Amino acid sequence: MTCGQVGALLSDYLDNEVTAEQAAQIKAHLDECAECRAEHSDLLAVRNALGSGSVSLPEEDYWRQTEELILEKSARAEARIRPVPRSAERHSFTRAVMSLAASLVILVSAMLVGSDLQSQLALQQADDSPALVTLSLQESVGTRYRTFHAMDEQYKLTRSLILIAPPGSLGRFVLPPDISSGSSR
Amino acid sequence: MSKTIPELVESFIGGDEKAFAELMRRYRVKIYTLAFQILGNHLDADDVVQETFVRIYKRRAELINVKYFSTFLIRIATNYSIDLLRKRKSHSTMAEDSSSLPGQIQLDLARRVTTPLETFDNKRLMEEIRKALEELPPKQRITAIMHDVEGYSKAEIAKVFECPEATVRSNLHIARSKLKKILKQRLAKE
Repeated sequence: MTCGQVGALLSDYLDNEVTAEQAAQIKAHLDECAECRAEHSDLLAVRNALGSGSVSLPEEDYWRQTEELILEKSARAEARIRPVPRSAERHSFTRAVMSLAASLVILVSAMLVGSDLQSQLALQQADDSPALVTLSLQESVGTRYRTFHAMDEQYKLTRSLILIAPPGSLGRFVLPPDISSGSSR
Repeated sequence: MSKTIPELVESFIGGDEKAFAELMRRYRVKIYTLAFQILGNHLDADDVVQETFVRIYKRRAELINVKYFSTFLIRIATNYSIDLLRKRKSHSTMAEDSSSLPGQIQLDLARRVTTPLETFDNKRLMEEIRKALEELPPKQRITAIMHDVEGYSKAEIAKVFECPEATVRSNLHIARSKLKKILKQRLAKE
């Protein structure tokens, strides 16, 4: 065997994990080669040194505390991933149905308000001081501006009004620069 | 009569908390000593013990398909140890940070556990070996510790790392050679 071949097998040789034939060849080589013998001796020292260490174990009190901590942490993790109980599922389903029903009521109301507003909408004419106009089914400010037909009218109105109404009922108001600066069209 | 490991594992999968506690008692020393050898201090070893068992608890459904509980457990522990080694490297807060704390503080942090290195006959050599081990890449370090310190076979290590046995042989050989070189350099300086 060459030094390279022996070097590649030296670690396994230390662990008695080579064939009998390989072991005999390595031994013969080591008897003749001082360099490989030194390498073998060093590796053996490293392995023995590694194996000579021992860890002194913590006392029983430590293990008891650790066990409690692990069980506590595991229980917390379990709570996060625990499947939802059947009773909670039923409760959750009822809540979902009720939420859906409430949403529908709101949606229908909004549509009614919107359609009614489009026919009943009346806004006080713009004056110099801004006014807050709240629109509702009951509120009818007048009939002069019942509906919006042209953007021009919208500009006139929005110049000094803040409009609060269900989304979509009044269309989208955009305040152009010339209005915000005070000039009217 | 005490239950066997497969029996305990089966009970644990079925939700038996006592079986989990018993598994903990049977494997805690093994995990602790391995983690201590890899990480070199009690605080990290303690962290590995806790995290390993919490992970096992969370992943207990997977145990149905696990042939060897011990291998699965050690794999979790070594993977977590590797994570800690990498974090330690990236944060440059080495284990020395805790071992360099004043003795009393460290004892308090370690819940009054004596420093294991104190029990070595040749403390200085062991300290050199520990430092030399820290210079090895995680897998080589863990392979050397598992094989030469903890006495695992190459086949067992291969199962833990899910790699061919030849890779373990190669890692072990490289680790020993590097350790030899590092130790020689260190000891030659003195």
